Amino acid sequence: MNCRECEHNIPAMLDHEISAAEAARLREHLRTCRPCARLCQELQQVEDIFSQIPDAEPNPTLWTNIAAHLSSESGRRPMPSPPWSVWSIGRAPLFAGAARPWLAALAVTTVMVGSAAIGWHQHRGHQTQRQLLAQIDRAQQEMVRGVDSNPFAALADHKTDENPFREDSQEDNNPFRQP
Amino acid sequence: MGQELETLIRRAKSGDGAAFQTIYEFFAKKIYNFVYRMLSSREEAEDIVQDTFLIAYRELKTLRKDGQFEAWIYRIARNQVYQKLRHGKFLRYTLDDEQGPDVKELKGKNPDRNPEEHLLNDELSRAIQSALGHLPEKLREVFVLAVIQRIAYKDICEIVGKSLSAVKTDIYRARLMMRDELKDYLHHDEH
Repeated sequence: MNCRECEHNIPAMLDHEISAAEAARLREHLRTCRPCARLCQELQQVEDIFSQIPDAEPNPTLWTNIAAHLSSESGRRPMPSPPWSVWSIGRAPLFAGAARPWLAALAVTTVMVGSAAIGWHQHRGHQTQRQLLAQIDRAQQEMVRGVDSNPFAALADHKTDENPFREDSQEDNNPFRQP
Repeated sequence: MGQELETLIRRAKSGDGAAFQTIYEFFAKKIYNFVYRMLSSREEAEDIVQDTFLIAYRELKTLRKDGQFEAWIYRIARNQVYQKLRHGKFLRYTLDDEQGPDVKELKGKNPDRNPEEHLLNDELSRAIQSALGHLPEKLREVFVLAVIQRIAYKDICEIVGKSLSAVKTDIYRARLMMRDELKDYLHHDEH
C-alpha cells in the first residue's frame, strides 16, 4: 500500500468501513511510514474528541406539538407535499390528487351561482331605479302644473306601510287576550 | 429494530398514531442532533424536527421501501436544513448559548471535575462548535453523519445523494479540516 492509498483508507478504517484484509495492509504501511502514522494519530484524536460529545436532548414537549398538529389535520385530507421539494410545507397544488374533480365541480358551481345572484340583484336594482325615475318625472310634471309643491309627495304616496307590527294592520291572534 | 420498525411503519401508514409516535421516539433524537450540529441553534433544530415529522407523516404512504425509512427521514430533515440556510440569510452558524449543551452535560456527568477541567471543557466545546461552523455545509453534513452520528457510508450516500467514492473523499477532507481547526487540542507521541 502506498501513502496515497493509505490516506484514502485511514478514515474508512476509523469508521470501520474497510475489510480485515485492507486494515492489515494499512497497519503494515503505518508501521513503516512516519508521516502516514502521524496523520492517522491526528485523525484518531479528532475522532476521540467528538466521541466524547454527548447527544443534545430535544425538548420533551416537541411530540406534544407534533401530535397537536397531526390531530388538527386528522379531519381533513393530508397536504400532498413532496418531501424533496422546497415547497414542502403547507403548499400544495389547489386541485391536486383525488380531490381534483370534486374541487373543480365545486368551483364551477360557485361561479355559476354567484353570477346568477349578481345578475338578478342588478336586474332588480335597475327595475327599482326606473320606477323611481318615473315617479320623480310625474312629480315634477305635477309641480310644474302647480298641483303639488313637494317633489317627494308622489313618492311618499306610493309608499306602503310594510310594517307588520303596526297595530291597525295586525289581527289579534292572541288567544289569551282579555276581551 | 429492522423488522419491528417496518411493522411500525406499516401501521403508521394505515393511520396508527401510536405507531408513528414510537417511530418518532426512536428517531427524534438522531434527527435533532443532526440538525443541531448543522445549524448550532436548538430553537431552529426543534422547528425543523417538528416540520420533518409532520412531512414524514403526510408523505409516509409515498415511501416505497419501508427499510429505507431512516435515510428517507434524514433526507427530509436535510432538505429542511438547506431550505433554512438558503432562505434565512440572517442565520449564521454561531454558539447559541454561553455554554452549549455539550458543556452542561459533560459537567453533569462529572460533577467532581475541578475548575480547570470545567474551563477546558468550556473552551473545547466552543472550539468544537466553532470548528464545525468553519466547515463548508456539504462537508459538515458528512462529518456529522459519519463521525458524530456513526452512520454507515452506504446510508450516508442515500442521505446526501452522492456516490460512495464522493462521500469518502468528502469525509476525508472534512476530517483534515477538523484536524487543522482543533490542532491546539491534539498531542503527538514522538517515538
